[in-house]
Amino acid sequence: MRRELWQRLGFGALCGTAGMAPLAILFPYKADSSLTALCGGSLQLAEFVRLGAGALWGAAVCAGALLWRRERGNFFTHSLWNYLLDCAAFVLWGWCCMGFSLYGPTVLFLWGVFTVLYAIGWVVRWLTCRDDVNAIRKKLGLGSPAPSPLKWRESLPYLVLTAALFLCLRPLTAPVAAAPDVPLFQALILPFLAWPFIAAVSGFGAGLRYGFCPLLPLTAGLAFLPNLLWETASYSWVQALLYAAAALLGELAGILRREWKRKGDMS
Amino acid sequence: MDVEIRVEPELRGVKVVIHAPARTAEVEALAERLAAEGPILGFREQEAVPLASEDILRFYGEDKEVRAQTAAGVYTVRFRLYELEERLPKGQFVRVSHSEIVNLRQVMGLDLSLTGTIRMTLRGGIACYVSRRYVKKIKEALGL
Repeated sequence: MRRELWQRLGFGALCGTAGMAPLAILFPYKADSSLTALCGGSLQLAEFVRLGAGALWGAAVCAGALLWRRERGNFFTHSLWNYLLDCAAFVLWGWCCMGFSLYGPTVLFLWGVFTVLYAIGWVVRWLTCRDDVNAIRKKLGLGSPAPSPLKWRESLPYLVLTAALFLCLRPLTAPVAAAPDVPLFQALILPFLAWPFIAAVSGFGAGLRYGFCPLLPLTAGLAFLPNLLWETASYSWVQALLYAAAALLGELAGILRREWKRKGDMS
Repeated sequence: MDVEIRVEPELRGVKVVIHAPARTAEVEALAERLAAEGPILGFREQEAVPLASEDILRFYGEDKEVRAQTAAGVYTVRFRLYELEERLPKGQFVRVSHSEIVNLRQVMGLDLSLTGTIRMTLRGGIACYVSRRYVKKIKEALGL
């Protein structure tokens, strides 16, 4: 495993560097770029940092796949570390290699993009793993397991995606929402349209498939709370309760739909 | 039947070649007897016990030795895990991690645990953990 890790790190670094080389040739850093300024005005050092950031990002992506093949340790802890390292590498890569300036909303945008993509990728892998386990269990003639406590296992994909969207939708739209003449988005569309919609739809999906999942409304409410830290938007903690209620109503709608469909199949 | 032994130092193992004018039932039976390697011997406290494959729950590595666990107890076997993997019936015994081979006919439960590992429960409540990198092997062994 350790040998494979080093091989992947090396291969990823090589690919990342090779991928950045054309950028360095076609779009060389200028003397007035923020990275050049950070490197004391040295263009060569700035290019070196850019190649290094590409190598780091490539290595992180290649080695990250091993997370799903580790035999020991807590998988969720490893996922968290993998996320933090990959996110840092991605933000650094985006900042260095794509020519973004060191601007808060842009960094937040990169973080938002990465987090949503990581959450989607993680959920897909988790569902694949779960489907494999279900297929093996069925082939061995084993019965389905009892529902997990608070249905955490069943609703995990919904929890992860809901949390990612609640946390990242604001940063994802930061370049737009930060404009002082467009308060409509952060003041109206996000809090009164986007977030309630996300909560209700994920609740509906979970309710339709698994019935009442208590962790989903809780996640919708808690995942909203970090948005209270935004200086430019005046959100209230009461909204957390509203989004939790939206998720709950969505679940109820999903449960009713499921029961109605079941009665339709029986008759 | 003439029996002849030829010593060839360049060979790495024992190889038996049957020369016959035709492939008769007697020749087939002889080939089958030669190919069968017999039961695996388990060692415990100076005694050697032949272990029937249907009684074995799992093989696992411990203290640089390989153990075989049955309902009757734990025995030491004189094979490496990779040797057992080659020797045992493929559809019945499958490697589930770096240090464990499990008898699929003894599996009573399978599920994802809270820490994200795949927990396999064998007869007698014995728990073992399936590595995600070996899930593909298990599916192949089951024909999935």
